[in-house]
Amino acid sequence: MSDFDTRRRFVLNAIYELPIRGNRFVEGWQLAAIVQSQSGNPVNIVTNINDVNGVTNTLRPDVTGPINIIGEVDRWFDPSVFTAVARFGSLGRNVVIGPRFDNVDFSITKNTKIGERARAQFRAEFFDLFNHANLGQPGNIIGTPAFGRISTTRFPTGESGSSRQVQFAMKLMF
Amino acid sequence: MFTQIITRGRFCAPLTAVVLFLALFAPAHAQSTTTLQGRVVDPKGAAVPGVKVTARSHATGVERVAQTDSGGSFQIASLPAGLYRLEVRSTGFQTQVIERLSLEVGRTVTQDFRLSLGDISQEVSVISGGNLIERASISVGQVIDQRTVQEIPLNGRYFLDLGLLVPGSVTPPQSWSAAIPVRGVGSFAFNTAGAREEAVNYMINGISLNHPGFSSINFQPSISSVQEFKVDTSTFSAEYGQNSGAVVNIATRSGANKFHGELFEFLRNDALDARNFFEFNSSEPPPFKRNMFGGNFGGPLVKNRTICGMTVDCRTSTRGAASS
Repeated sequence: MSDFDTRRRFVLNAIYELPIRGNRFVEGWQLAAIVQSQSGNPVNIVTNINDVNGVTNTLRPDVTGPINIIGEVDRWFDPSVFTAVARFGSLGRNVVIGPRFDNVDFSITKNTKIGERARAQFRAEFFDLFNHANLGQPGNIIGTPAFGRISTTRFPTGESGSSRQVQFAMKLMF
Repeated sequence: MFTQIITRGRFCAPLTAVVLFLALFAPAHAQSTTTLQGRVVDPKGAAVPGVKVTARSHATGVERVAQTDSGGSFQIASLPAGLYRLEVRSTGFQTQVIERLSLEVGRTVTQDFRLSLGDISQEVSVISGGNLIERASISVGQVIDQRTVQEIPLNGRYFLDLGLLVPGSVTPPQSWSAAIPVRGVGSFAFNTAGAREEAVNYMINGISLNHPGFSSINFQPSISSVQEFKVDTSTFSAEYGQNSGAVVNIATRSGANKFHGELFEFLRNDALDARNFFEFNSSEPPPFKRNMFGGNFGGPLVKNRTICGMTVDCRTSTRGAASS
């Protein structure tokens, strides 16, 4: 299974102009949104033993019981069923599935006519409207303190879907 | 207050300062254009050869003429995307006109005509039934139109974020790859139709936008400069070589016979932001201030002949990195 394997994904984007007619202060309201929801991506569980091939964090462990996804930040899966061994282990590649991704971006726009040809646009944009924290992948190296734990959001530096962020915009068009 | 390292990024213009001059008499570029084709028949359904089909752009006034062949078929290739007026003229038949036909980038639009007997000087207005289904090609893809490009909320105004709106695209996983969004520059690729992120062919006005080393996108074209784009995710035409995954055809805005333009300013700061879930040392998000500003302008130098357009996109940002 590939690292970016995603079993299910839903995405909807829409722009809706509110059907309000009247003077230039009343009309011109518009809503827009992107709604995304998708299932989790696989986590490849490895050991830091490098006796076999000389490279750390590539060898997979033995699996000694059913894999149990708990779904908590500190214990995404039950780590006790994985045993590091100094050989190619019995666990397959990319067997455990990580957290899902859900995000809603939403904007309110007000268009105001200025004369015949020009218009001014004011926007308020809300990214991750519901402030839903999309979790990153759990630690995948057996024996490290982070094993099975999630310590960042999915895109901590890219900011997408980590926490609510608000942007304002002005546009003048002719 | 929590301890923090202040990282400062302050750059203007070079990130996405795109200056595009478009001379209309230059030959139209390869694939980031559109093709119009169709068949002209008489009232009995028989092919009419030698019919003059004229497509005239509403924005620029550029005109392309084709004649139907012995089978009644015509084709006008490499048209810049936009709104067109179509005119079909043949002696012995009434002239038919479609005032507004939208030709979208990367598509092959089929528009058939059934002529009525009459005088060529009589003009009949025809309403196009729309072209929801692309009859002329088997490629699977979607056009993201100008309104969506300009008005959908985008954090950071990164063009590639729009690629996630296309069916088949997925938000990337959290492991290193060019598809991961990076603060200040966005992502460099996207995964679509199950393909790896380096398998996408990006073209801007028919010119390759792929990085020669990583095969990711070379730069994010300014949102303000993009008119519309199409993503073909599978079974696309053999004319697109180079990459196996998907084809992204970007058409930039061009000038028109009328002067058009926009000025913009996008402001984001930490005042209304929520803190990150994993920020345990503070109830506030780290200090942040970002301004994105610029404009787009286009118009005629010589009407119906030479038209120019340009976009300037600047951004400055300052951010305190969180300690955790």
